[in-house]
Amino acid sequence: MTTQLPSIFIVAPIFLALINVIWNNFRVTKILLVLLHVCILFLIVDYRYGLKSVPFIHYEFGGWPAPFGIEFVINKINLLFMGVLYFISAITILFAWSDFDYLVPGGSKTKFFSVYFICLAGFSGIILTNDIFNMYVFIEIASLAIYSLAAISKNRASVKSSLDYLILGTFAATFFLFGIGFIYISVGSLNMTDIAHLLVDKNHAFSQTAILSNVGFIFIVAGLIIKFALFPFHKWLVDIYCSSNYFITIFFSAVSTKVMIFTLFKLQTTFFNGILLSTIHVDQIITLLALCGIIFASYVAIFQANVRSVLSYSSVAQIGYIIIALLYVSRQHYDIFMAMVIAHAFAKMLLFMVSACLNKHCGGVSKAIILTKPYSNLSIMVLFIVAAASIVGVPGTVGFMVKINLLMALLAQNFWLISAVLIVGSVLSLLYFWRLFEVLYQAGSGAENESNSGSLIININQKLIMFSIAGLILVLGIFPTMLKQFILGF
Amino acid sequence: MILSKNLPYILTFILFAISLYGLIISKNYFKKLVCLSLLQSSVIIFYILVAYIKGSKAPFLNGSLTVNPLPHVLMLTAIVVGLAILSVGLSLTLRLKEEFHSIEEDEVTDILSQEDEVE
Repeated sequence: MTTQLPSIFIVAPIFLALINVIWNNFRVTKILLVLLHVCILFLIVDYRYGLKSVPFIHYEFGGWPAPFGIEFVINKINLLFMGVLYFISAITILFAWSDFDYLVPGGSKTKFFSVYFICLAGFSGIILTNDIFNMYVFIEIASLAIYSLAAISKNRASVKSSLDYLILGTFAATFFLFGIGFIYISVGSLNMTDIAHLLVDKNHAFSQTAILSNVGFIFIVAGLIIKFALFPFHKWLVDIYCSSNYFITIFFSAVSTKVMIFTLFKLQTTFFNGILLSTIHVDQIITLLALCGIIFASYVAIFQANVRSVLSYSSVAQIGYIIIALLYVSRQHYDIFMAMVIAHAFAKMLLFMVSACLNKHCGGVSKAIILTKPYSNLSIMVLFIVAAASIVGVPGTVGFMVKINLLMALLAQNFWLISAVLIVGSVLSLLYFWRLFEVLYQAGSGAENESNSGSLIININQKLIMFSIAGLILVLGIFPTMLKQFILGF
Repeated sequence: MILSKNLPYILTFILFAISLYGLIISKNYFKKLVCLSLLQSSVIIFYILVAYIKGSKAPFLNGSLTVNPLPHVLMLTAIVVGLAILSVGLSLTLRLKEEFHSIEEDEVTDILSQEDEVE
């Protein structure tokens, strides 16, 4: 019985989505949501202890042996990423718990969460699968759910941004599929471990198979770059984050692009002994795009009139940082890469939660609107400062620890120029957060002497969640080895 | 000789290029979705060509030379995925028509930018 357990990661969310649609009762949906998260998190903890004795666990779907059948691999990194995915999903749901009526207008709440279950299934599949075509299918499942979820919002701009993303995302996925075709022609296998072995066997330089498989990998990487919104393909990300409802924005900003980056990380670590990107000669192009993205997005963010678009451009810049970590240090220190992903997820989540609270109070998040609706609330300011400090990299926050680790690792390999660009990016991020802080401070301090000020009321459970995340950011920053120990010991 | 042998592949790549071109220049969302569908079709044809061996038969266990069945099966999945994407895309286009009374990208962008100015 326990040998079939890994399939639960995929089967449970899809099955619950089905039950949820048939039952069509929101009280049941809430129970199912709790049930799924508790079960999966319990399973992850269980496997964490199971992995103490063996390096990884294989699971073959339908009993077909590995190179022919579809195979799941559970190892330390996959499992950690699954944990991050479900932990963040749980926090987001708890944060939005009392607001579902406000978020999803009409009677479509249950259906909304059915699609959300499918989205979780897709993400879990991408993380766990070891079959490259299966990965394509899961990417499409997750993306289909994302397109539908992103379009459900009171802001009607969300329909357009979602449709734009559908077109761009499918275009990227088609590239991915095309690339798989080339790899299949060159080596005749779809299992990722198997392909890696076959490539090493066959790869005498400039042989025909080597060229074919390299073309395939270039198509795949090109598709993934669009999917995780590396500059200059970031337009869809900014549109979606600005227009969709806050539940989706918080969840997507924390995990959606990271899952795609994790896909690239998985390909990178599997193929050519962990140097896939430099073998197919795209590492320099990606580095250039990431560095341009860091500078450009940070610069553009300074002049945005809307709080959410500042945060979205900040996300684009942070994706650049994570990609640099993936390219240059993930081979020796994968913990730095994972720590960057986790640190950014927490900080950006908190920032979008703050913007959600402001949105509810002011009826909009453009800077002008916030200034017309003063409020008096100290906790919003404190939370904003903690999260922004973590993104900028102020000492004492987890953001500082991961950035300093990344810089040390880069300088140890003499990448001076890249390090300089990363520091310039941090300074620019200080500028855009400072401008945001000015607006919040003016709105917050003007409240005492103006008559139209309403007090910004935050739910007690929302407050509790936001302060826990802020506490986590500070604790992990003050005890720097904690996160590293956690990741390496997972 | 090389041309005639590779003609199906060349035609597939031409289809790929045409649909890519259409995807980039067309401003109407319905046309964009049609081009997207074409793009996927070109990849599907590519996979089917890969599986083909000259003089081979359908893959039954009868001892004779057969085509490679795996790409066909994979494409069955890809076709289903493509259909799902197309239907989600068309339903989003319908919602776009309801909200903005237009499915032209320029017109929708104009309406949205005017809204921003009012804010």
